[in-house]
Amino acid sequence: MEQESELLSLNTLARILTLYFSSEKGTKITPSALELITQYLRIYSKEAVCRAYEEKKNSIMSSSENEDIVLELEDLENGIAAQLALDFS
Amino acid sequence: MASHNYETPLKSSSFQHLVGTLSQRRHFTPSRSRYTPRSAQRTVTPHKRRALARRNSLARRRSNVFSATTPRDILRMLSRALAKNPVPSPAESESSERRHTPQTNSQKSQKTPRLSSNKRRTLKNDAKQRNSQSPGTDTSDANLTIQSIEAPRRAPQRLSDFFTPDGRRVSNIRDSLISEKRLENNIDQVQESALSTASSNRLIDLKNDEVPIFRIPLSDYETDDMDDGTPLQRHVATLNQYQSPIFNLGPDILEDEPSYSSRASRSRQSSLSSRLSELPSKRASLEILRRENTFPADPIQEFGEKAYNERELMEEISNFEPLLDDNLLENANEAVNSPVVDAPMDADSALEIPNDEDNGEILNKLKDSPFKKPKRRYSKSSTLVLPETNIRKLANSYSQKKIAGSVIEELTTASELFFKQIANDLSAFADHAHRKTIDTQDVVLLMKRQRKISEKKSLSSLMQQYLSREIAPPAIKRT
Repeated sequence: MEQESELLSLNTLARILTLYFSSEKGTKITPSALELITQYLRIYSKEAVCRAYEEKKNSIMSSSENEDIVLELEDLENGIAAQLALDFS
Repeated sequence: MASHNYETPLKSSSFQHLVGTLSQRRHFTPSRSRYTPRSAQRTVTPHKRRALARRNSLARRRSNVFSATTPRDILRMLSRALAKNPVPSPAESESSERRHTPQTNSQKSQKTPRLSSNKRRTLKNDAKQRNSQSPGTDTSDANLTIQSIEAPRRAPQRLSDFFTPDGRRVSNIRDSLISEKRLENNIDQVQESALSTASSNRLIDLKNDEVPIFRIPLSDYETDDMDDGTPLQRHVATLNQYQSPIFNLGPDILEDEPSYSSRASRSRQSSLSSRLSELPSKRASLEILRRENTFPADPIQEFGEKAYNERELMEEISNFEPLLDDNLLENANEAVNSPVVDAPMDADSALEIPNDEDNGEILNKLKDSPFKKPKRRYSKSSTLVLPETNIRKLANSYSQKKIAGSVIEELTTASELFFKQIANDLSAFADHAHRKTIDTQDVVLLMKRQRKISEKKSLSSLMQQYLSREIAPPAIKRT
């Protein structure tokens, strides 16, 4: 877990978020909220990877099971992107 | 008519000519119908037919919606009440009407002041024509007034008799196919606005109204006019309509309840004894027994419906035995075992045993039992978010194509999901704001969340786009 949290620093996330806040109101964000958002983002990306993996596995099930599954950009785009966006909207 | 107009300027001054022609016109325009009363009454133009059918449907609609009563209804009632005394056969009424309608017109024309000689002449001419039309018009005055009130009223009624439900349907289908659009835009609007209550909702609704005959209400919850207007408006209408049958019923039922307990305890014996005389005696005695022992309401309901024979009765009583007092049991057994004639007396004696105060509550509970039916209906209908007919109409209002049943089902589920999500979101927003009531702000937030409102598109622009201008904009607090 600690390793994962290092992947995206809280400062970067706060920076990204404040980009989309309306500037005149000067919205701030507390660190705990940032933590929560990181967790949410983590779940989101995990879910995306898992779904892509399932799709890929189902599609190449017939040929061979032993081969390593390599996820590519198309796998993310084709099967799951729309549903994922809807689910996490 | 034209000949008179040409005569006037020759014989009179210019001013008089002006007055004369004006008065003539004023006089003549209503009296045009005098020259064609029969044809106007007898012929059924498509417009007239539509108007009549629409009026009938309006009356039917009113039966569903209680509040809609127009001043015309009073007049209609009056005319019907007046018509009750002389009820002529259709043929007779026709002939009498033919005799009397010109007479009424002549009376009317006599009342109007005669402004000029020209006009008098025209009146004479009119009178001549009238006399030629109807010789022997003198009849009793009372009869005449009845006829004169009744004649225009009854004519549509008779016409509506031609359109028996079957015939009406056929004719209207044809009619709708031919001239729906045209009629919608002129005559119907006028007719409806005149006939219906002038509530703004309804007036808006009437613009694109369907053929009235198609809207025979299939269920009680079906709303009749929701074909036009914006989605919001329609939704409001549906909600109102949806509630009405249930919530109108509720208070009426409840009103009787508190008074019932006191009244019941007083008049219980008499009413029950009268009821006993109606029912078979054993049944009644069992019913009383049940009342005394606070059995659930259901068996009593069933009790009225099922026919019990003696063996079943005995079984039931033996089932109830642990609950019964000894006195009651004795009485019950007496009631069951004794011959039919004696049974009411025993039942009455059984009635007197428990005190009245306990009975008040029990009777109150029992009073509820007959009204379980509407409740059941309500729960049944609430499993669906919207009635199927409503969804069908909504869908039809956006597309003229026919819609399959499976599509309607799918729409029902989709709309259910939609409403569920909306309700959840709104409650979440209200919770977040530490409120218990959902506010306009919450709805605005929801629309923002659904990306209906963005920086490029404000709420007011959305309103302009989708809502009709008549709807007042909701008051939105700016935080």
